[in-house]
Amino acid sequence: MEDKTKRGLTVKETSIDEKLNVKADKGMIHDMDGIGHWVPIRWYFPKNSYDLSQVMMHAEAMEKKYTELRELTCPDDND
Amino acid sequence: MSYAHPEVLVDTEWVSKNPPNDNMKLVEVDYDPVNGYQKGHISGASLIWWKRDINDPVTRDIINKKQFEALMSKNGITPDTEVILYGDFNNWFAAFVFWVFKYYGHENLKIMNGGRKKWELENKDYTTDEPQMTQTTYNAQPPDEGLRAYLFDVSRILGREDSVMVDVRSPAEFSGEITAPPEYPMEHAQRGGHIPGANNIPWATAVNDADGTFKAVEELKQNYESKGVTPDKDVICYCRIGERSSHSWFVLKYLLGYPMVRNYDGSWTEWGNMIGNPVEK
Repeated sequence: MEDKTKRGLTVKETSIDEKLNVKADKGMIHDMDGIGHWVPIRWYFPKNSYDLSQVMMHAEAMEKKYTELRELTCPDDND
Repeated sequence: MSYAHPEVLVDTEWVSKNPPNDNMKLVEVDYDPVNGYQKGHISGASLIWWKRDINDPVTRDIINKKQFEALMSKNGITPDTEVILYGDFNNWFAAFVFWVFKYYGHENLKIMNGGRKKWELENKDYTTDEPQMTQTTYNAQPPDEGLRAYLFDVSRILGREDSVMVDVRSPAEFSGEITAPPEYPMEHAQRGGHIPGANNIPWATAVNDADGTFKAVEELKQNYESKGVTPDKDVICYCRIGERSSHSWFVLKYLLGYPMVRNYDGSWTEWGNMIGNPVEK
């Protein structure tokens, strides 16, 4: 599974993502203060432990997170 | 042939044998102190955090004279103190702080060649102990505007043969393919490309890739002169936020001894966001 909003980000390490508990490629994003934060770019779900529906669940959660962020910064003007 | 001002550099070996004292201060300058200074720094070094300490907290600008004096006082620095700067990100931000120190007239100032990168490659020691500084009284000089280029300075020299712009960003930023690398999502501009007529001489072409130290003087001369960046011209360096361009400003002014070099700290995040500014791709 890949977070396409992180496309182009250099992979600096591959280690366990503690949130999903699977191996992930990670890069670093610097915030407004210059502080670097590790962010997962893509996750490797082992086929012997995860089927597609389980991965889809995580993918949909990620999609929901970004939809909510978009709503927060650019809400639809329905008024 | 040696650098025009070899006195502005010290090497890691010298720093390891000369700990800071009342007359000499060691200052680490970081963009990211959480992953730099706080994880470990050279014994006796204090921290200047680029974002917090060198920038005005509200307006986009470097600190003013009064804020600079307070920063010097906090770091135990007097106008006569010898200050050695080093830092993360290949000394980009150390070079920026060097530029700000010079802007406010601090004379006795050096950069540790290679910065944290070289220190770490040599497996030299770090500590997490932070030094206790005795506050000083510091009276800075009026700002030396001859070191700094503003938007109107850049507009004024467009197309002039006696002036030259050096864009020190990566080729992808210069061409407009990207406006900032993905690692820095807060530093984008509305338009990609470069200031018309600028030469693309990336900052990295001035350093040895292996350890981040500056290249030899002959290599540096070849690097700039072959692209028309010669000492008889009024030179303005820029990048995205003015830090990598300070690094090249330092090279041109202190290592090659060019008489007229300015850093445009507004850089692409100013130029590329202004309505109506000419852009070349």
